[in-house]
Amino acid sequence: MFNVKNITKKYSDVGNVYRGYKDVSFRIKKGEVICILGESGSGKSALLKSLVDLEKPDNGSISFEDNTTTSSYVSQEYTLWPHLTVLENMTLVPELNSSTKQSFRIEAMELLERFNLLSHAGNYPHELSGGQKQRVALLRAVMTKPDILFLDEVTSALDPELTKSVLDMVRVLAKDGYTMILVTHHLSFAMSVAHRIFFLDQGELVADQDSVSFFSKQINPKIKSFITEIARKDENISVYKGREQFQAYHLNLMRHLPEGSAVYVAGAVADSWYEPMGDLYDTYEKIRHERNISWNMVMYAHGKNEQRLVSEKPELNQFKLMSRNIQNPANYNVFGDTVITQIFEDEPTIIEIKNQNIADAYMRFFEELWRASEAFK
Amino acid sequence: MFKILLEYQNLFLGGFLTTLKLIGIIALIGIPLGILFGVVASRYSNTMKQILKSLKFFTKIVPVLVLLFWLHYPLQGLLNIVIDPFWTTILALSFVNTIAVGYLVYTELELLPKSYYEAGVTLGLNKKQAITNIELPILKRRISPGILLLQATMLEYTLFASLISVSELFRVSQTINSMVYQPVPIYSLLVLFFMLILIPLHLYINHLQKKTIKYV
Repeated sequence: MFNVKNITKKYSDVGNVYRGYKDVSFRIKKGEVICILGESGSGKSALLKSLVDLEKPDNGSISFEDNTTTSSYVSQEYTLWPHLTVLENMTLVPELNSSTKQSFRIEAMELLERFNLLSHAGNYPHELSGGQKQRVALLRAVMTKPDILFLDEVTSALDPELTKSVLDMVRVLAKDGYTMILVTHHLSFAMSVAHRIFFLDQGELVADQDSVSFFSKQINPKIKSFITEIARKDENISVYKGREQFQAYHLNLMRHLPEGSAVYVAGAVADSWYEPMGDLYDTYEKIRHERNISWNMVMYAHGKNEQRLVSEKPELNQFKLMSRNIQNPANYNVFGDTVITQIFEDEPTIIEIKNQNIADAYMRFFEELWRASEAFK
Repeated sequence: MFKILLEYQNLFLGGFLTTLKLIGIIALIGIPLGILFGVVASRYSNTMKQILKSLKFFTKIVPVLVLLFWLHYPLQGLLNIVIDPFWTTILALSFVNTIAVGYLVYTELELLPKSYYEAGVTLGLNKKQAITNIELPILKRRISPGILLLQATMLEYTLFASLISVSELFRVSQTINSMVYQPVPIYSLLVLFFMLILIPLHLYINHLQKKTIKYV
């Protein structure tokens, strides 16, 4: 529905820092949700401004497959029109653009009711909290019935509590089937909502991947370091680095998971997990057996340990082999509302994300892999 | 006080009407011209922006009374013309008012967040719709208190007209006082006249300012 070909925009190029974006190309399909990530100053917002025609690219082309395609844009600033009430903010554009001069009040009221904002219909923007302002701004954009929604860091000015309310609304809109391109720095949110992730580095689109691959099979060292760095700041994400933290995390996990629960692991590579656990593996295994916690794994390759586990305790160890010939030095585990990604390069690292939506999404991916994998022999 | 008012009611009324005429004409010229000047300077012409800034600087360094006297005596002498002092006052104060309103509009336009306009355009409004339905109503709320405040100041400046023999309220009061010499009731009446006009005006300006801070 939307094609971007070799667009470039350059604001300045001071020293080695490029401001803008260069030679960006991609294609968006209807219903896709794209998250644009990147360090600040990497050109994310500049790219979005060009996509909504606020700033023309220096060269390249942006084209819609259908000439009637419409879009709406919500920026990181509070842009509710201060002289109008919430209801008037929402109805102004559709009413001005309607050929029949029909009223859009009922439609706006229904939307406000759906998102628990009806009591604010008569309020002016200065009477709303930051989160309410951004949610109304989102609904104002939805009122224009856009084919594509562009959202530029809509939570950047909000505290964590208000951020959640806005991101929850974006999730609902994504589920409603809106095509969305959004700039965000909330990794857990991007993981839960995006079909594809774009990563901009000094204006260059260096990654255009599906979200699972982007986060769990990332090979670009710069992106990996970005994920780790941002993850530290994300309230839903914790990072455990180094052998000691790795061991402590897993022992703690075995002690605190509900008895009889299961850990689902995708992308395991033979014996790589056992090495960083070292001598504490025996303690881990003892607790696991006592608490009856099972492992369900789809693996790239199996080793001696896996063979031993299956023969010793088949009821707690269900393993399958993926019909793929690759070995990715990372895997992910799902349990309850939590997803962890484990990286075994250099020093062992665990990235833990507590988010039910992400856990559900990864679980669906796991089930698909499980179905497509061969039984362990 | 009221005895003098009744006795010289025609003179007072004449002076009051002259003052009203002065401020009415000054406002009618200065407000629209100033708005136009400010909009052009902010959005359309860099030259006009420089001219506006220079004239604003000029009105800062040349006192209104000096300007009025210069227009009344040396200029008319240089050009060998005679202009009614009433119209000289209109000329001087309309010029000051135009520059002040123009600069106010220019400043507010510069301060008006672009994001309001951009939000309108990116949601599907055309430029004209975005300007008339978003920028102008917001601008109106932002400049109204400032423009009214300037008109209150212009009303006070009309007192200078008495110094070039315009028979406005202050001049009339002086004339009556020279006849009956009762400064207390006469100048108290003058205070009362100005209070009657300026108290409601300033209360309204305060109300608008509070509303503006809240809404915009």
